[in-house]
Amino acid sequence: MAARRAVESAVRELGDLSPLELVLFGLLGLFALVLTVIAVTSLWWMLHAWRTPASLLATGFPTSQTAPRHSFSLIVPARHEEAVLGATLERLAGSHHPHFEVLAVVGDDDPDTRAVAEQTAARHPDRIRVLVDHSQPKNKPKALNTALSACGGAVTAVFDAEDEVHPELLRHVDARFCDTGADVVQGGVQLMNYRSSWYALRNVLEYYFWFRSRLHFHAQQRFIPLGGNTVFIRTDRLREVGGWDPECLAEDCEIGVRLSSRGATVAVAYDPDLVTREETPGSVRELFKQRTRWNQGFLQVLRKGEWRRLPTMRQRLLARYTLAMPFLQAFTGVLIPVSLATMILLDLPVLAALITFVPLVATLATLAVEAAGLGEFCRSYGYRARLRDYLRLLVGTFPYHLLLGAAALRAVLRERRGERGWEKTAHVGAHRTAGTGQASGRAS
Amino acid sequence: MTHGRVTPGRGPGTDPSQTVELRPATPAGNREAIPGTERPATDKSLPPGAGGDRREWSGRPPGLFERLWRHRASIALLLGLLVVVAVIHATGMARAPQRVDDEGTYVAQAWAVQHWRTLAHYTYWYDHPPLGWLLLAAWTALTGAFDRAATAIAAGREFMLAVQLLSAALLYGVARRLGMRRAAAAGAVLVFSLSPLALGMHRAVFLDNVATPLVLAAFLLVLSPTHRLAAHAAAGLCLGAAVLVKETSLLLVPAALWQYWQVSDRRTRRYSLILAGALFALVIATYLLYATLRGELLPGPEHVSLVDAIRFQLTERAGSGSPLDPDSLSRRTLELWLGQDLWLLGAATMLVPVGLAIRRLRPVTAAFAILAAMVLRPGYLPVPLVIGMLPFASLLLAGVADTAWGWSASRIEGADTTGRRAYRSLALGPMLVAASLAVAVVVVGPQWWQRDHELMTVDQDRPFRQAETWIAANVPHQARLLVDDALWVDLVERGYPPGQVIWFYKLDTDRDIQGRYPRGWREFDYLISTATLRSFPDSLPQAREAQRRSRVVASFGRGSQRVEIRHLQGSPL
Repeated sequence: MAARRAVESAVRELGDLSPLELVLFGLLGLFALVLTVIAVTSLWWMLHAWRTPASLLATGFPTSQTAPRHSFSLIVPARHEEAVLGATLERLAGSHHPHFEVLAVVGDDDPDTRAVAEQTAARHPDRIRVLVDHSQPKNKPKALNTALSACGGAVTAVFDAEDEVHPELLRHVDARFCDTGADVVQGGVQLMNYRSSWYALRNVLEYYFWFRSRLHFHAQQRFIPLGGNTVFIRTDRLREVGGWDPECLAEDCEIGVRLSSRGATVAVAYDPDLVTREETPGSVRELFKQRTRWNQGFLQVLRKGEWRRLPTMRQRLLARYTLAMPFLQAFTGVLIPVSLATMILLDLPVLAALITFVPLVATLATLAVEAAGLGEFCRSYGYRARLRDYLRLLVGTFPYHLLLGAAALRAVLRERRGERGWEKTAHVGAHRTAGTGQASGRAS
Repeated sequence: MTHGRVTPGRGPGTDPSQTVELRPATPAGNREAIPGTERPATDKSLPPGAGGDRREWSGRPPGLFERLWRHRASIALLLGLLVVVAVIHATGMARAPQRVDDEGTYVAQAWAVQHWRTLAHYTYWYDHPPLGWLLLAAWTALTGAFDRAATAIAAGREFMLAVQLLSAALLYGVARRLGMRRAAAAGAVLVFSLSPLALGMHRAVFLDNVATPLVLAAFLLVLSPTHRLAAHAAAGLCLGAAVLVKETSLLLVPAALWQYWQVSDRRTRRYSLILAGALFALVIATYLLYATLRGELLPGPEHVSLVDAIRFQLTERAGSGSPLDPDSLSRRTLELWLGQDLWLLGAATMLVPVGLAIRRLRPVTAAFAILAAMVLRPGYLPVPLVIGMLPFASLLLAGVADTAWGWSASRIEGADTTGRRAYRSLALGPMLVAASLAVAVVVVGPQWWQRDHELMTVDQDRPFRQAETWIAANVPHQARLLVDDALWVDLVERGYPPGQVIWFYKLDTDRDIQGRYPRGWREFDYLISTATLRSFPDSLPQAREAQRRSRVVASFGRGSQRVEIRHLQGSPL
């Protein structure tokens, strides 16, 4: 009774506002609500691994040493990556596991990379095979499909040409397969060169939270956009679903969604000692192009609709939300500072200003968590986080989100115009210790 | 290499013949199909020692009913306790203790929130953060308390009953999470609710009472047995909210941090601490933001400011003197507390060293000790400060008793085989606890019973209600009244215009009121004199003058608790 009267009086007060004010107020409230939901869910999933000490423990590789039981085919597609491919193949060939083969896939139009691959293969004839991809136009999923038909291992894995893979990784992944009975094991990938540029730090942290934490959430929800490398899939399952989608710009995400929608189980494992080390894109332009490609890929996966076959409503909602996330995130990243500026610069009513503060709370909390992540990243990998790094984290927030927002927008435009070309990221080897990757790669 | 050829130029998964169900699609089916993956924490079929602690749990915690069922003994006990607490708290809660002006102020501010959508019935000057009376206003608006209750203070005291029941339940939870036996936790709840000091204080509409459940919730969440990040984040929010209810909650932050540090897990500490800290800070930042948006953060001419208010609370407010000085205000406050009940505070103070010696009790002991130390500090000592001490004093008493009980019990177990020793140490601790309890029942029990009974039966508030009735019958609505805040809402609700019923304190302190009544007390017809007005120091010259230049026309009650209606000399009417 009294509650009804309270509501009625609130409605009456709203009725006193002019229609324009009412619309603005409603919009502001809705806007704040949407931003808050996006910011809070992003923050919460970003922290998934740390939600209890027990759950953190469960995100690692098993410590028990079991005898190797699986055989592996490691696919390394390479394109204009003669500068880094040799070292990668050498390292992979030196993995500590009894049963594995390395399949280097090179294009028929790329003699330099092919030469490097063949030289390395010649040194390890029992481990490395070189496959030539004749497809036109070339892209990563086509190269992977070329290799898939040649895979002899029970488990097929993907690595990129610049990846620095730990020699013990295969044994641990093998144990994880035995331990969980999963169809897919996703290992950790980590960008390392966090001091190379202003955006590198944020890019590195994105990877850190994604592989350290967020992917575990997706594995648990049984809907997962897989990573582009250090991903291990049972070869028979991969063949059952027909391999990678040759036309998708985010073939890694796509295969993950397709496997998820067919009920595959995924185990994710992260260990700082065993992660595959990579480098950030070499320039803002490269980062921008890479991000555009990923976003466009996510859009394609969303449009393709494989996720509609997921069994539960909850999973389908999560799929829709996750695949649209790059766009939502760009939206929040750009609009939250704008709303902050509005709050300060315009003479808003106090209540309206306080409403705009709500999503900002989640965003600022995210920033604090990112700072903690930076500290932990540095500690895990033996660096010392300096004040300068934290300042960079803070100052880089807005421009980085602006960049992501622009990339999301560009992805939408490209997809609408039907431009689906593969903008490849060049690699120079900045994540490697001096001496291993001096020469500069080329972007296609 | 024998199968799985890729069809060129065709997206995989588009051909129905390629559609393969790898696994049954229901989550339950999956758990069966793949042993060891993504099991829920409660899955009993997981073989022990099969790396069970390494499994990633399913996100689905056990159902609500299952969780409640697991705590059925505690829930039954707690429900019984809450019934007892509710009956004793509620019986006569509107009649005793006599209302004080602070209660009136908070109730009036809640009334202003509900009816005027402003933070106070006068210019809000940042005396306290507003969350406490915003919550009170939510209660009164949603339950219609102002319409239902006989007086505005009674409406506020209804909310205090709800808050007290919540605090008692949370206190039980904290005690259990500190590892106390059910009996000890129940003891803590009883002491916390039935000490006459606690009963009187908890009934009054004080912001400290609203802060108590938030502080206790923060401790409860910090003590999350599985060290959940979400619980720690919520603890940060609760503690931040507690500060926005009553700023003295800041004093308890070190104790809460200590509690966190003592029980938290090193592996997830980094994130839970930063998340909780960030949320705590951001909640408090809302208050600073509010002041900034209104242009009232920094001092300036012609407006109130948050900085001015903080400076007033910290430095300008007249100190209460030392409790060692028999004439000081501080001593009076202390005597007021101990006059209600010497035992709870006395015993807790004596047990502080013991509490600090018992590891699990250190943080809550520290919380009590920090607030107790405020008494010895020379600055201003607010009467309701003791409310913050009560839950921690109760935990300290119950915790020490629980430890003493367990101490000898474990000795018996350890010395089971050497019969003689076991005989000698037999039940020394339980005997000690039982003896203390017996003394408490014999000595303290009757005193508590007598005072609690008084609080349940005596009508100390009658002079106020009689005065209100007299005014309504004898004073015309156009009269101008100088009143104690404890009467303000009741008179306004009886039809006296808010602009003409003025809290005497504001005549000396509020620029708006001074502007409206430039001739001060001379512009008023009546003064309602209460214990608060009479006890006010000479810092309010207008109120003192009004008191001097008036004569009693009606008086209700006796002694210091009397309420007088005084007619002012040269009244305009």
